Amino acid sequence: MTIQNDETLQMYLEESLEHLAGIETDLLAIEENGANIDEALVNKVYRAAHSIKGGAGFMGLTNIKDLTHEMENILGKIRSREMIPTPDIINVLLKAADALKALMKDILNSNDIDISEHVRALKAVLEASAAPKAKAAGNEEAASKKPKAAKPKKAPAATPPAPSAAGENFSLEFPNGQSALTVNLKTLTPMFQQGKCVYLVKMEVGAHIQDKGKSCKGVLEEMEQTGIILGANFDLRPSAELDAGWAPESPMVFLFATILKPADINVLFEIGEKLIFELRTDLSLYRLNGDPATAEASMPFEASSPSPALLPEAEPERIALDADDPEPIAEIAAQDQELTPEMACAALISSETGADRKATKLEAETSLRVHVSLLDQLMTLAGELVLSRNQLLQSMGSNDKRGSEVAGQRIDLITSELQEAIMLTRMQSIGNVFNKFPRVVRDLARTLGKQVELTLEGKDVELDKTIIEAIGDPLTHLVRNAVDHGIEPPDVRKRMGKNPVGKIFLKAYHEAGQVNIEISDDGKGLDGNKIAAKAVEKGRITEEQAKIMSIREKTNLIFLPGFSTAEKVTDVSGRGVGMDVVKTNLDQLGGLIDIDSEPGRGTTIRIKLPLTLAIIPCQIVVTGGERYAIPQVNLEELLRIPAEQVSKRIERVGNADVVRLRGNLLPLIRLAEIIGVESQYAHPESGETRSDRRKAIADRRSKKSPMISSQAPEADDAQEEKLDEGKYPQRSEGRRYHAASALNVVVVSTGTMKYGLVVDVLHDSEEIVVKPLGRDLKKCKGYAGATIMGDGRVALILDVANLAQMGGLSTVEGTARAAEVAESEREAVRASRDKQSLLVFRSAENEQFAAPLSLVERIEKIKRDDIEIVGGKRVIKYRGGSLPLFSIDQVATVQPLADQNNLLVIVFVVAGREIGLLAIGPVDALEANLNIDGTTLRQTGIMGSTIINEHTTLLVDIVELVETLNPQWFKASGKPKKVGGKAATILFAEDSSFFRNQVKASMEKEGFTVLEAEDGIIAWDLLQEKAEQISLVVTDIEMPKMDGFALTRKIKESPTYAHLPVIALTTLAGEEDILRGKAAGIDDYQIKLDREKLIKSIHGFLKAA
Amino acid sequence: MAEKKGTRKPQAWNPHQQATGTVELATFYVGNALCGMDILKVQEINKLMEMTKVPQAPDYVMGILNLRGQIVTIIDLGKKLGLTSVEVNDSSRNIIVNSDNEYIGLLVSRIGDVVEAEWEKVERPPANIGGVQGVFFKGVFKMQDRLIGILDADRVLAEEN
Repeated sequence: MTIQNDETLQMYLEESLEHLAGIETDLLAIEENGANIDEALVNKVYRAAHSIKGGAGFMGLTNIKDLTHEMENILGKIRSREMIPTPDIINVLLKAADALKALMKDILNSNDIDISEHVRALKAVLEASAAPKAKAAGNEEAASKKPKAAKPKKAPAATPPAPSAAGENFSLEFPNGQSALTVNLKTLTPMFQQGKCVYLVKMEVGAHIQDKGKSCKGVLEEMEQTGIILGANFDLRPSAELDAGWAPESPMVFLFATILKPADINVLFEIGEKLIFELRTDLSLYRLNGDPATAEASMPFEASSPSPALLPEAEPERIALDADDPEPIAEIAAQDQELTPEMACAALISSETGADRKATKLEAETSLRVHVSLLDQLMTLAGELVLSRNQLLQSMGSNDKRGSEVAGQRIDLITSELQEAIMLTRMQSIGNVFNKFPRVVRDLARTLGKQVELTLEGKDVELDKTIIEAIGDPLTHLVRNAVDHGIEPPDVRKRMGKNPVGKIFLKAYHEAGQVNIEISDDGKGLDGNKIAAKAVEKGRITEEQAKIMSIREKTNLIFLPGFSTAEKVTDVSGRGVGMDVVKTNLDQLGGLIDIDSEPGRGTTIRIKLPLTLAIIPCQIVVTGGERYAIPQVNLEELLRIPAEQVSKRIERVGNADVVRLRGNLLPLIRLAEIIGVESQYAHPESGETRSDRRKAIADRRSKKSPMISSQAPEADDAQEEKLDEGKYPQRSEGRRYHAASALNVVVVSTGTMKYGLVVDVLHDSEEIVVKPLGRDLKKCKGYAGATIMGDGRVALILDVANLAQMGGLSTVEGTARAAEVAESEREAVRASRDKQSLLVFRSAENEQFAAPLSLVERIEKIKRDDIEIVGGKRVIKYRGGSLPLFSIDQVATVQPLADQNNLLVIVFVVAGREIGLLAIGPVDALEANLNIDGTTLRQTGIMGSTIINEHTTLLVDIVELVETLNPQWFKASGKPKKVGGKAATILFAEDSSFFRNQVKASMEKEGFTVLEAEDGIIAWDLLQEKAEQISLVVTDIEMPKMDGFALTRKIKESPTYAHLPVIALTTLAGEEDILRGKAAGIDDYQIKLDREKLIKSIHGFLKAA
Repeated sequence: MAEKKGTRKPQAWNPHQQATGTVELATFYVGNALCGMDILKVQEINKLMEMTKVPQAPDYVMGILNLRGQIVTIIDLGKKLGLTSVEVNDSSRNIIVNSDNEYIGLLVSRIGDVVEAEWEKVERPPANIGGVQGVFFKGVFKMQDRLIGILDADRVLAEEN
């Protein structure tokens, strides 16, 4: 036998692969049904196997044929319910299907591959299932040795007629019992061995031939061209010898062997399907739709099993029909067989000359099925395009500008539509990938002794062909991981109170022009800390880095190369390659991957993929005078840092630049530096482009960076710094003051890491067509391809993941560095949030005061003349009453109130009464970071001083002022509370020494004992030390080391201290903060600094206690 | 597939196989060296010099070019052969060849005539022709006044390790 290598083979291959894909799913369904056999399903598989076998025989693919033959035998038994499809049997069948697939992949060499293992396994199944039929199996083996001696086993069913005494002839009957023909088995067997289909056909001369304008001779001629007539109920002669008008008297009945499939056979005869039957190897008749032609289930019939070794030698047998003249048919058969040696020769030669056999591999997926309607649409669009082109040419020829424009617009429109339509032809449903997972999961679960249920959703989601092909492996890996590492064994699951059947959920859906794939399981999840510990152990990250990582970041460490948390290395996964490969593969596709996991609850992996790779939207940038494209999927945002901010926002950490972006630090990479070109900028005055020779973006460094102290700056930098810090702070900033040195940053992300790419110029975003780069450029890792721009020139597409690598940013480094600096950034934010709103005012022209805005009720403008002096006190008529007035100089030694007519009254409420402070403008409300000096200028009524707007400002202590003036106002609540005869002790945590002193003083004044703590940790330690004394905790929220929330949580979580009331005293006045505080267990949330309210609250809690 | 195989495999020097017949050579200058190439290998010759530079590419890569929608890598044949770099001027041209299913442009200094060479007169290349490794040549054809080194384009363009 020979292998035909042409289009037919290609077609066969495509069809067979389709069949195979179906077989797998169906086999799984058969397994699920178990003993409850769905005949239609089994038949479907049987037919598929049969079609593959048929074609294989015709093509000379003996191995494929043998394998399918054995599969067919088993399927036959299942169909006839002689065998129950146990998982083991299905396993063997599935493996055989796999082997078939492998054979198909290298179809030209398939005959040389050893398949004996599978054949043996299949045969063993057959034998084992039919122990009483051991003889049959034995027969079969004998048959494979001596096909000629093959004796068809007597079938008990009525339909396959018993062979005649000679064992060579048997008579065929129509299903209605009408006798048809007698056939010699010897003629039949080779036909089956060649994979031909044999049909029994009955044709009425009148109705079927002459009425259709055909002649009997013509019909025979056609038949001779497409196959071999094995027998007929009339005198059979070669059609050439017949007269044109010849016609047999009775309806023609013949047995016809051909390569035509049941689905196609009627093209030849054009008669009712009831009149054509297929004769299969079991020698029973089937209808063209594959159903047995009789009501009774037919017994599978072990026809002679073809042996690959003997097939080529199969001699054409003399056909002994009961026809009178068998000669012509024999001739035809002989011709058919004669071809064989020639072809074999050809095959031999080709295999000799083809020194490299691999080169003869057929690529399986070289064609694609496209719906006709789509093709029609394409055709219409192409037509329109041609018309528009004609229009354009005409308008251009006649210089008709308007016409050209119109045509241009039309072409634009049509091109977009055409592009879309062509894209559609490349789209394939993700089901192509998903469908193989039931099998994968089943096999794996079996090997691992787990129970897994797989749910697929969104199979119809369509993706570009290339992506579909490329995501197969990564997805398979992830699914296998889920089964192997994710889902626990049933007993473990039971113990944990979970359903012993693990669930894996695979889902695909569209979102924002991308395809999302989610793989989630309800298994044991990933332990981020464990992963981080492993990463530290393997030296991938340092312990410090691990400490500051979020759980999510830790979980994502699993994508680092050479990482595996599997304690046991199985053949399934856990070889320490894997997740990084998955990630690399997805990166190459422009996809993103992210893991979200909850230990004990499961893991969800999300993948984002572009719909297509061929045309992608890209951001165009320019560096060194050349354009580059950055795929939009990688693009996060564009950032332009104005020149005057460059020095402020960019810092140098180690030898990398970072930019502050909304409280986070983003590592920066200069594109020009990475790819080794000279960065250019347009000179602001002359407009000419010049090369930018700055070595570092930030030529000035901020002392604030916590990193700087550990990094010894280079000598000249240090000098520069001195200049900055010293007398000429303007100088270095001034140097970069023109617009040209503003920085253009493209913030890109590659899944787990984000960085800024510094480019010279930012252009528009464009849809580009990706073209591959030549082999000489394969080694340039920084490019993902090239594209042709509107002006016909080529631009390179950047591969941001590889650029990061080239720039020395590894994922962990990037995140760690960002986290490190983010921490310092948070510190700064914290400091800035620890601000107090102040009202700034003056009493004398050149003395500035400030009071907490929170205490201010309102401000009124008055005239000096309106002030009345009653009873030695200044008052003013105000809202129908008298508002007592005072000025600071009455109490504190400050300059007297300015002598002017227009005054301000700042109304405070102290001790439940309103009181007005006389002041003058300008007033201003502002937020100041209270860096208060509580000693230098401290005096009665003045808390201390701070610098506001470059003026030394005195902070007014309103309560003290009022108390000094009106001590009687305070007498009512002035009784120190005792707890158990002793003064109650209050633990007070506050990091600002100013506030600490202030609040402490006012609490002590009330007679409480105050224990001070500078931060949460000290407070906590103090609490443990002196637990029995403390009856209340007052804490600030924003504190270093441990903040107020954490401290409160700790207190409330501990059974020993949970009873202690906690009062928060903070400047964080946001709704959120208050809610957070309540959630943490804070009993009273107070905004700094209303002393009275605080004291009241303390009294309240102590009373309650 | 059979054809593919033929093009993919760089043909080794085999005097017995190519002993007869003639071949038309497209000749060109790389610097001052006269080289030839089987004209059937040549797809086209153009003087498009609007190349896009590829930073980080091997030094012999001049850049990439848009050839009617295809990206073509232009190679400085002088550099590639280990000679001095080809100067881009009015007479320099790109010879576009199809090698291993990919279009590659060879930048040469000047285009020469098409010469018919008889294989009988082609001699085995010396180990080194004017500083160029002999392996890049299929042979040397002796004309009356000059020698033409017949370049093996596939060998020249084969991927370096």
